[in-house]
Amino acid sequence: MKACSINCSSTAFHMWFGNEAMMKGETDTIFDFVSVLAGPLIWFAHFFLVYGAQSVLCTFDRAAAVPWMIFVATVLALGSVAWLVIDGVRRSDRLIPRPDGEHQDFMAYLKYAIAFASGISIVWVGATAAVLPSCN
Amino acid sequence: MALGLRLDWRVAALLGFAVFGNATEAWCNQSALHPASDAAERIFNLIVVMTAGAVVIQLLVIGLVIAGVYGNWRWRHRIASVRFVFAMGVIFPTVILTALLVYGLLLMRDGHSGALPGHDAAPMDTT
Amino acid sequence: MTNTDLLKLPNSAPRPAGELEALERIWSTPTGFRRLTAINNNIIGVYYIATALAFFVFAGVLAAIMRAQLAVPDNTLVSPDVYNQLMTMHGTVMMFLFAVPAVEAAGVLLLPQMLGARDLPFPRLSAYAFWAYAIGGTIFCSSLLFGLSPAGGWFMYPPLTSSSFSSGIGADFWLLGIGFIEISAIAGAIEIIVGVLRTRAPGMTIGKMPVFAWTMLIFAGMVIFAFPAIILATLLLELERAFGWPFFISDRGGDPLLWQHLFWFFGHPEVYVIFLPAAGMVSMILPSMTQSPLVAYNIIVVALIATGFFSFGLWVHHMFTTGLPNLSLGFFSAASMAVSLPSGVQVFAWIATIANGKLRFHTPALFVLGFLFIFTLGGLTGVMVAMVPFDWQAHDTYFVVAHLHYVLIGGMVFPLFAAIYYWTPAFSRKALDERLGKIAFWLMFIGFNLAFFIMHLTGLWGMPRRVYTYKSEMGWGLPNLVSTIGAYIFAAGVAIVLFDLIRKFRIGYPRGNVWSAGTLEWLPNGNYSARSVPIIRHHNPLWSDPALSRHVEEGRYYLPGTATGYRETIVTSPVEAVPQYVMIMPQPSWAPMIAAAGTAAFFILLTFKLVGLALFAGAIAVIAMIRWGWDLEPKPPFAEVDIGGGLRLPTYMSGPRSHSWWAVSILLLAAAALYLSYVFSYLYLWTVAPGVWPSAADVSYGSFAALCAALFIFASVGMLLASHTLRIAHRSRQWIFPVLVIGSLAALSVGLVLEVYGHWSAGLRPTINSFAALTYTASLLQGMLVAPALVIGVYSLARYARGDLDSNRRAAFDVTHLLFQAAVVEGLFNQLLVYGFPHVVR
Repeated sequence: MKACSINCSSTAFHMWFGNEAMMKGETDTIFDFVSVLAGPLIWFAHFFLVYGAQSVLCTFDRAAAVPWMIFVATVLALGSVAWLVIDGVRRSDRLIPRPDGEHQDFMAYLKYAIAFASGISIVWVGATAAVLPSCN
Repeated sequence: MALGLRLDWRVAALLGFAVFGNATEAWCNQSALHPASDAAERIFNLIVVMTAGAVVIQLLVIGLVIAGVYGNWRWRHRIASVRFVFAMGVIFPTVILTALLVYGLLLMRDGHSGALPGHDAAPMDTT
Repeated sequence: MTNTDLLKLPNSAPRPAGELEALERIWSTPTGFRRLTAINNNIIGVYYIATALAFFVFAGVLAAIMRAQLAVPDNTLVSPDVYNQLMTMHGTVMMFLFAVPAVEAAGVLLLPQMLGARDLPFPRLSAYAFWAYAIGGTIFCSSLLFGLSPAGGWFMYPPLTSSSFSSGIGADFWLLGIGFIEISAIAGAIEIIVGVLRTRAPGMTIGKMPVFAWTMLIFAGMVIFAFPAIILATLLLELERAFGWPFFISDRGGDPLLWQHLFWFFGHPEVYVIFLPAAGMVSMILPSMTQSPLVAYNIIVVALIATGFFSFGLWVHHMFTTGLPNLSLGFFSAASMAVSLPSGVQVFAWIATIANGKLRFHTPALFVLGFLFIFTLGGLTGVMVAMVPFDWQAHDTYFVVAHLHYVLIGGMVFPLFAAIYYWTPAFSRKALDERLGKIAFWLMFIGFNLAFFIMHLTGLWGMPRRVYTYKSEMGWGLPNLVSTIGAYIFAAGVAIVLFDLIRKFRIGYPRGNVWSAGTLEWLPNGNYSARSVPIIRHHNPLWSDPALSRHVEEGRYYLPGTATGYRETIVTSPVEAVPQYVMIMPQPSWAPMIAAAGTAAFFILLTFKLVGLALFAGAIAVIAMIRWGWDLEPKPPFAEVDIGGGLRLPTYMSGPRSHSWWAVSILLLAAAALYLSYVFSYLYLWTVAPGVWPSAADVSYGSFAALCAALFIFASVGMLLASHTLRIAHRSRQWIFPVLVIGSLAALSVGLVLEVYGHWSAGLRPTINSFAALTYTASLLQGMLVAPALVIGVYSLARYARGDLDSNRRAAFDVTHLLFQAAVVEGLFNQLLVYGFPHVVR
């Protein structure tokens, strides 16, 4: 939906950020913001999958399946998060941001940096299965 | 055994520090700092390690604040950087917490056992 | 990269005569008795924070009595039952009536000015949320005077709080009183999300907005997803207490641990809900105190978002001693470690900011330094209790009391007091006294550490929590005495601050930018916030453009007056803050306050089991809400207005871009979280007591499932058609739309009633066992969406009849439609869960 309905040709409106999308009268949406949260959403899914599956499997005495399930979930989650980080770092040139964020896409930085943080938590949560017995 | 001796020294130090408590039997029976079983003793070691670490980190943070306010230009320039924030705030805690987490998980795995020699297990009745 | 020349801003001409006067007139605060109808965030924000501080004092007095009782062993100052009420009320009032409302109040007061908006997007809603909180909270606190307070601890675990062990109405007071304050918090959260994402000044991209705005956004998001869990829990426990539906009673298929899961799924994010805005305040105060921009702003934002998410994975760390399998505990131990990373990285970012500038030791800076010391220590003991074996020793001892007060008082109260000293000149005619402030700080800092540091040892020495006294042989007498003395020293410090606030804080033309701060809330402002809305290009706009204040006051940016003649603000896009339309906002009114009083009365009267009167109060609330809503969509005088700088914007927006659509969508996210908590409860109780679930032969109550589902789908299609009809509506086709709406509403309601009738006629009674109770709860939850859809549906038909609803101005119908489709979706999921699941598992 266009942001302006009548006076879309006004110079003032078109000069907002010189962005081509803006020139057509389209603006960003909430999904542009939510996509930045990909990393923590993967973390969330991994955590609940791992905890939920462990609870259900242990209720029905399938202890042997638990470490494998956690391993697979962790590998998948970590893989997705690693892809987000690598892709993000490749697009911008560094993991640590420049001091005042100049010449850098803030949203792209957020996406891979939060993914990186999520990755640490995924590793820690998944690693518990390597040490502790499944159901007692 | 050398480790055991050092920890006994710590117990003595803590007991000495605890001027507030009367070393009565009741006090000894319920205190986490006076372990009466294998498991409690292992947890006591964990307490000592974590307390030492916490003291060090707390002093470090205080020191950095003081350096930030009163330090010379070179120190403050080092601290006032994104690199410092990343190194101290991300790398350093990740390393320490990974080690701590593994320690804690191993402690959980190794389970419980009976009372240490010389102590009576606290009597428990369920009505 | 805006092209200023082409934008023709700042405007060079002096503004036309009368423009400022018109602006002031439309924004003027009602005087005298009518002050109570004010909805401006400046006024409501001040009332809000004053009320929160009043509850803080109340709960603090309770703590002082508790500490007096605990000062010496075997004390008899208060009886055990009174002590239990004191400690329950202390915790409950501090957490629900002080901490969350205080940070919400700070958001209400500060955010619009900080973002360059004229007010919050739903001013009557924030007035309603405030009055509901103030009235409900006061009645709740007064229960102590009548000996009717809850006494089960602030976390109210069953079975202690079940009707058999807590037979008075104290627990009901908690469940109904606090339950509805949660609703008030959700209303505030919706407002804040829409405010932060959609009403920023043009050019204030999401990467340039102040850190406090980020923290309030994340705070609000967490409230939306965490608070429904406790709303469900309180609903379930109240149903159990009042009607015997066994959710937490083991011998009928329930489990007390379900309460703990639901409560702490809310309870852990709750403490980060309290801490994050305080961290945001520190991130605003420190740059001003050091005259340096915030170092590592980007990392701080990452840390805040990470904290918000990770805090949802910690809740079982309050349950480490309940006998859950070690691996389960391990997940939560690992996640608890993970959450300390983003909290810790902020501390180093603040240290870097201090090193980057020159710290001036004004009172706000002292409180920030105090916060750094106390909160760091609290965080370190938090890592300690996150270690499961250590927690097995420390759980339910005074070690945890020490930890929680370090992080809550250090992490929230100290920043709050810093904020009080810091922001008072932005809202009050007079600033607070620096000398008294410093004295107060030292009293609070020394008193706090004296009181609570020793508690770490008291706990490790074995003193349990929530005991009204202890034996002298235990050796805890001296530490407790020291804690009590420290507590009273702390209280003296607080008293000095409050005394100075009462003496000096006067709403009026603000004292001004005494700290040389760089953010927009320090622009010269009146009831309308800043005179004109500037374009933002940098993080600290007042530092990068020293002439900004003067230009803004002269009206040389956007919207220097009132373009439509009403109160208004600019609505912008969520990420890049491109201006999209001008939102017309409502005038002061009695309706929000009356609705709040009615809502509060409804819940309190239910506590006393006066159902008839309660329904009457509820009806008054609904009527007041309708009256309130009726003013919300005036026909704008122009379809488009010129807001300055050559920009013309529409004055009305419908569809997914409108603020009302956003508000309802966020509400539906909360409803989804509520429903998911219910699904969790269902599956959890099934794993606990699978025997209580029916065998395949017994699923006879399912006869109506297909019919109900068909009715829901039919209703949904009807509403979609109605929506389409409205879009292409011509005056001549008037009758189709109401027929479709009425038919769809009827089908939905009939479907729901039929579902409940189906259960009942099959002999299923909710009191038999947990399966039955859960089955009826599914219908109840759907009813909680159907009821507002019905009310707002009828309301929109009324507006349609008056000609106030058409293809352009259709917000009322869109709200109905969203609620309606959500009710349908929930109904279909219910059929799957309630009828499908038992078939699958047997």
